[in-house]
Amino acid sequence: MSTSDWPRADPTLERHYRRLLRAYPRPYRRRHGAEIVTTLLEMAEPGRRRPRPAEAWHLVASGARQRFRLPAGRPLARVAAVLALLAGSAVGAAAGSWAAVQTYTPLPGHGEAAAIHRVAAGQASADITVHTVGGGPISGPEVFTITSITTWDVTQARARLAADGWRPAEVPFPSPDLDLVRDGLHLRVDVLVGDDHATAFTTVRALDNGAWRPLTALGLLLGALAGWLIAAAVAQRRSRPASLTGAAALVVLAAPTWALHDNTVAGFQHPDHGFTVHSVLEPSRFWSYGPLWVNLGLIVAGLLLTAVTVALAATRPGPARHPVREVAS
Amino acid sequence: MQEPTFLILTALAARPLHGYGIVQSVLSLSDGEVKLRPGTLYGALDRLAEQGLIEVEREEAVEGRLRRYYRLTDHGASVLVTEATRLRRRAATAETQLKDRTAPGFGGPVPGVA
Repeated sequence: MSTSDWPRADPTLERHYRRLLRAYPRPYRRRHGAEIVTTLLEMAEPGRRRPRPAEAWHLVASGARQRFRLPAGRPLARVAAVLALLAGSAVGAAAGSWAAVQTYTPLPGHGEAAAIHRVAAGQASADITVHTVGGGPISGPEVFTITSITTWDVTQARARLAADGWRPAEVPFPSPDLDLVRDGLHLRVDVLVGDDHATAFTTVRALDNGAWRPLTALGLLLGALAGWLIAAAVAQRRSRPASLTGAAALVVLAAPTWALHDNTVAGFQHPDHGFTVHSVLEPSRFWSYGPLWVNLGLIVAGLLLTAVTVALAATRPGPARHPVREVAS
Repeated sequence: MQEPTFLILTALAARPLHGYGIVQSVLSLSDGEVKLRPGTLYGALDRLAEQGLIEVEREEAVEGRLRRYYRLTDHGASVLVTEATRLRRRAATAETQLKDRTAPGFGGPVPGVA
C-alpha cells in the first residue's frame, strides 16, 4: 500500500485534535490516540484548520465517558466501583463538613468562656473549670464550663446575658434554664440547685451559618466521582497489584464509610441539630467495640492504600502492541 | 443490540476494515442514515473487542499515522447471525401484522399493503 491515500491534513488541525484527545484517559490515548487522530483527519473536509464545535464537544464528551467506563463482562469491577463510590462520597462528605465548620464563628477561648460563664452564673467564683470537648462522634467541638455557686435566678441571669448581647434561641433540645445566641454562637446554661449550693454548667458551640449542607453535598458528590473514577481507572488498566490494594482499601474503609454516611444522613435529616460528618473521625465511641480512634485509624489506612492503588495503576505499562507494519513511502 | 453496533459488526462481516473504512461502510450500509463519529466508533470498538466479538487483525503506520484493521471473530459472526435472524423474524412479524390490518371504518385492507 502506498502513502498516497493516507490523510495529509493541516498541522494546526492535527494539533487541535491531539489537544482534544486529552479528555481521554492516558492509557486509552496511548492505545488509540494515533488511530483516532488518523480517522479524524480522514473524516475532515479539505482545508479545515479547526475542529467544528460539535465535533470538539463530542470528542471531549466521549473522552469523559471513557474515564467513567468499566470494562465489559467484569461484574466484580462493577461491584468495586459502587463500593468505591460509597467510600469516596463518605470521605468527600467528611471533607465538605469539615470545610463548612471552618467557616463558623470560632469558639471562645477558655478565658472568654470563663467570662461568659461568670455573667451567666452571676458570681465571680474562682473555681471555674473550662474544657473544650471534641463533640465526636456526632457534632463539632464545644466549650464546656462548670462552677459551684450559692444562689441563682434565671430572670436575672437572662437580663445580665441580654445586656451582654445574648438573645433567646429556639433549639431542638432546649435547656430547662437558658438557650441564647450571639454572633453565630449558641450558649446553653444549665443549673442544678441543691439544698445548700448549686452547680452551673454553660456550653458554647458554633451554629451552622448555612454552609454545612451545600459544602457537605458538594464534597459528597466530588468524593463519589473520585471514587468511581479511581475504580474505573484501576479496572481499565487491569493491574493485579492495584486491584489487590484497591480491594484492601475498600475493606479497610468499610467501617468508617458506614459511620460517615450515618452522620451524613442524620445531618441532612436534622439540619438544625448541629450534626457534622467529620466528627466521627474524632476519637470517640461510635463503635461499641475497639479503640476510640478506630474510625480515624481505618480512614488513614484506607486513604494510604488508595494512594498506593492509584500509584500502582498509574505505573502500569500499556497493553501489548499488535504487530505493526510500516507502510513504504 | 443497538443499531450502530449491528452495523459495525455487519461492516466487518465481509472483510477487515480500519476506523475510517468502518465509518464509510456503515454510512453506505445504512443508506446514509448512520454516520458514526470517532468518539462513538472507538468506544464501540473497544467494547466489542472486550466482548470478544471483534479483534485487531493488523496495524499499519506511516509518519505518525496509524490504521488498525479490525475483523469479526467467529464468536462475533455467530452473534451477528443470531441478531440478523432475530431482526428478520421481527420484520416478518411486522409484515404479517400489516397484512391483517384493516382500514378503520371501511373493513378493507390498508392501501399499499399486499
